[in-house]
Amino acid sequence: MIRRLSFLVWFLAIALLAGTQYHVSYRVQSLGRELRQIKAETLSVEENIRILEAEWAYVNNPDRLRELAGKYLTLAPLKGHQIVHFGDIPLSEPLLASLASHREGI
Amino acid sequence: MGFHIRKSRVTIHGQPVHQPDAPTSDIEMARIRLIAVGLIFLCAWLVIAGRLGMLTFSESPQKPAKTTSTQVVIKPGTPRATITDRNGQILATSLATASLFADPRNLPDADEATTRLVETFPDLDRDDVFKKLSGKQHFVWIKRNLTPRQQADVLRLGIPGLDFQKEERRVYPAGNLTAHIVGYTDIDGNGIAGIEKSFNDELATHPAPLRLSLDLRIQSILHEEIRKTIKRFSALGGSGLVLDTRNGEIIAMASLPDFDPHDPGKASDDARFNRASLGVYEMGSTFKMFTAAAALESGQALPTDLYDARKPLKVDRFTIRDSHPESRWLSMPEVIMYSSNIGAAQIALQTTTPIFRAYLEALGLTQRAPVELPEVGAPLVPSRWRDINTMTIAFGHGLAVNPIQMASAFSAVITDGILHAPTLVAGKNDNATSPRIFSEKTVMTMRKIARLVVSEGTGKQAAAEGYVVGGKTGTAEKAAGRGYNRKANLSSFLSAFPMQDPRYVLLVSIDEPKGIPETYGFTTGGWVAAPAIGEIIGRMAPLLGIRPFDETAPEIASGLYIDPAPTKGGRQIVVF
Repeated sequence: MIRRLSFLVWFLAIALLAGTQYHVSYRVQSLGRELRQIKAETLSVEENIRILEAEWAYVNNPDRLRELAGKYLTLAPLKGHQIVHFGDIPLSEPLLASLASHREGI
Repeated sequence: MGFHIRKSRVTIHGQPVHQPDAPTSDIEMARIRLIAVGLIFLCAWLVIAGRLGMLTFSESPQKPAKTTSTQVVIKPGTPRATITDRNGQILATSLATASLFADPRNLPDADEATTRLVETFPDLDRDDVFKKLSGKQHFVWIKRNLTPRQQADVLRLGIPGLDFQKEERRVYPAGNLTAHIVGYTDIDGNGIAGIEKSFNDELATHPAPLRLSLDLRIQSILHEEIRKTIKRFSALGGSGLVLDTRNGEIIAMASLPDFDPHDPGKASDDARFNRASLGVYEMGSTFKMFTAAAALESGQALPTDLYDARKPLKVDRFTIRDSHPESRWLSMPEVIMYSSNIGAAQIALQTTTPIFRAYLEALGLTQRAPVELPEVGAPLVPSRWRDINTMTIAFGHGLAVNPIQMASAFSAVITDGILHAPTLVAGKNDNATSPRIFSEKTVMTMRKIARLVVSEGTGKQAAAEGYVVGGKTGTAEKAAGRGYNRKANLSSFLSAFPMQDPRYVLLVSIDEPKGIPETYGFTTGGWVAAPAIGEIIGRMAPLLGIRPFDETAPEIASGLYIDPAPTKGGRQIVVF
């Protein structure tokens, strides 16, 4: 009786292990496929990024931008006298005063 | 082993000896034997199970697909590293392309294949292709780096025996702009010029991008202004350099004419020649800044010293003249301001030849500049340095140096007295320490003199409003045979800004400009290179975050003022 029981227990255990092993094995294989696919995708995405970066660099080439700016914009390079500091704006105080009085009026 | 011993013991002790416990020990022995055998099998099973588990749970390494007959070694994954400017803008990168090769032994009909390939690629030579295709090799290249469209065309031909190999192609999005610096590679991706060559191993093995010190925006401005100047004066060529005074980093370096790095074979030798680093030139009067700095720092001369420039200097068979003679006694600032060769020669002699030479050596003007390019010209130093050499070198003749040396030496003279090794790699000098050559006192005097040249002297046209430009003009007669050609000049301007605390040094040199009516036929540095410097500074300063200053503000105007007029009591220097 005990022998039969032990046989049954062993049989079940072996069957369980075999089943698990079978399952794991297939799972590993499918994950392996997935991994290879992701690696290949990564490579191709990386390659695309390189291409896009190169293209971005091409379209941002300063010579090209200057040419386009000359064609479509009415802008010219900035001159030193066109740059003014905030503190240097002579109207600042009267302007502040008028703003203040305006606020009082409200 | 235990049971054997027991057994032997039993057999040794006589036979047939009656042993009362014999049945028990027999059973015991059998049990022990069984356990032993069981253990051995268990071990074997465990080994097998373990191995099985290993095989199950790990992926067996993928065997590479066997190519049918070719023996091509495919390069391992990492593409050659990218080269960028200091802001991360790409200057060189590698893209994957397909290259066409053939296995002639698998070709059914070499003649027909040749015909159809030449139809697809009209640039291929028919005889050459036929020779390749009818050979006996396993592998011949037909055409490298096809475009996707060309690849599709070949696939459509459907000829067996033709195949593609993935390859890398180097592309340079900035094109001509940085061609001389970045360099180029051969078709197998090995750097053969510029940074591509000097950093070939690093680029091939380390995937991290190489960040250069260049700023592509400034490079573009420098390039454009030099191109305009060359065109305006119908010059042979020109070069330009922008250097950061704080660490010796080269922000921009241009040499024109230039070339397309994708097709360097097409360019002439002159176009591939980097004038800014490989060329060495007798730079002319810009050298006077070093002459004055050496004289002041050595203590041999004072800023108030006076020099006799009343008539040309005659030494042996040489005569040293001034191109715009003042014909009077000149103070040291006046010698620089009016660019007097006679005065400069006397200042150098006053310094004495060994001291003068030692200062030029400390400024790196006698050794090859330590910049990271394979193409760096070694200076031409006189083999015997006599007093006459000192006198001509004082105004930039008799010692040929390259523009990088000029710019980094000038940076030491007007910034902090420290010579930073010029570099093309961003951050290279961040932790480097260099010895101090000039004291603050000398540096301050030299700043004032450099400012004087632009505010009142030969460099007025370099004045970019608000940026407090200073510098020195130079007009060198080019060496022709054993003498000098007065008609062929190298016109330069060596400058820095803002002078009260210089941040950038600029050098522009134009090779053989021709006079035009607007400059009254002049081709001097002040008329040719100085206006370009003014334009470049005016355009680059806002990009680099340098705000314009009020040049008339007392702290700037008086801080940089030096009275050039000879003061009473100045020493009259007589060196002859």
